[in-house]
Amino acid sequence: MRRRERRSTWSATWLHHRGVATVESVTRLRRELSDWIQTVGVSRNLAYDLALGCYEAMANVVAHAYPTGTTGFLDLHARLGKDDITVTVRDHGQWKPESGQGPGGRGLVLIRRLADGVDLLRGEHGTRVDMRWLRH
Amino acid sequence: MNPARGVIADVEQHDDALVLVVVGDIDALTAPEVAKAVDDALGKQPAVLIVDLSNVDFLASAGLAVLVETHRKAGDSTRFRVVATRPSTRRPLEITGLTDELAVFASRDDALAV
Repeated sequence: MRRRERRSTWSATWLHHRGVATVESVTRLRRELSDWIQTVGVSRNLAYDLALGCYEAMANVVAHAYPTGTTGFLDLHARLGKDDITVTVRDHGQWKPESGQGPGGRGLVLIRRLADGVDLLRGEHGTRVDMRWLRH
Repeated sequence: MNPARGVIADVEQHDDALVLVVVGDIDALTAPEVAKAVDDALGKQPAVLIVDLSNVDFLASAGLAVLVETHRKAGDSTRFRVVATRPSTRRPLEITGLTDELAVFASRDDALAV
């Protein structure tokens, strides 16, 4: 049914998605991620923090990874561990330099405060955000 | 997209205050709709503009940016207030420090009573 229309694939312990990053697609993807995390059985607060943190990482890809007027791919990989949930959001473009007031500023603050651990890796061929939430 | 999962903004008048009641999710997709509704409300030059987020389930940085921009546009002519009752809206406002920057109230009655 609805499951077959989705472009993501998932199991009880992981969710994977690769698709073109658009403002519409990341809204859809955040809802898929929320649905998935609810089947895992975590607290409401954790589910919300994860959905918002991951959404901000994906929204940054849409806003900053690719030159204006172009689109590119976004990869999302979420994995349920015994003690934690890890989510990686990756693009194949280049973010503008980080700044408190500049693009993505408030989004990055949200990601850093919402997740229990964050690694932001900027490379020549893309940016990767690794986020971790403890299943307390 | 399905409007039931988007955002709706209705305007109510309470004496000298305009209350913009937002229902739904505010993310980068729906924030422009909220920004337009807020601009329309500000255009009426109310003494007080209240954005009521009591029925908002998701508030992303795009929505926070609309609130900050509204605060700036309101300036001295309109007193701008935000109602945030749910953890889904209070949490992003608190962790970005906007509860200090904006006038945030725990209920609409509180926001109207000031």
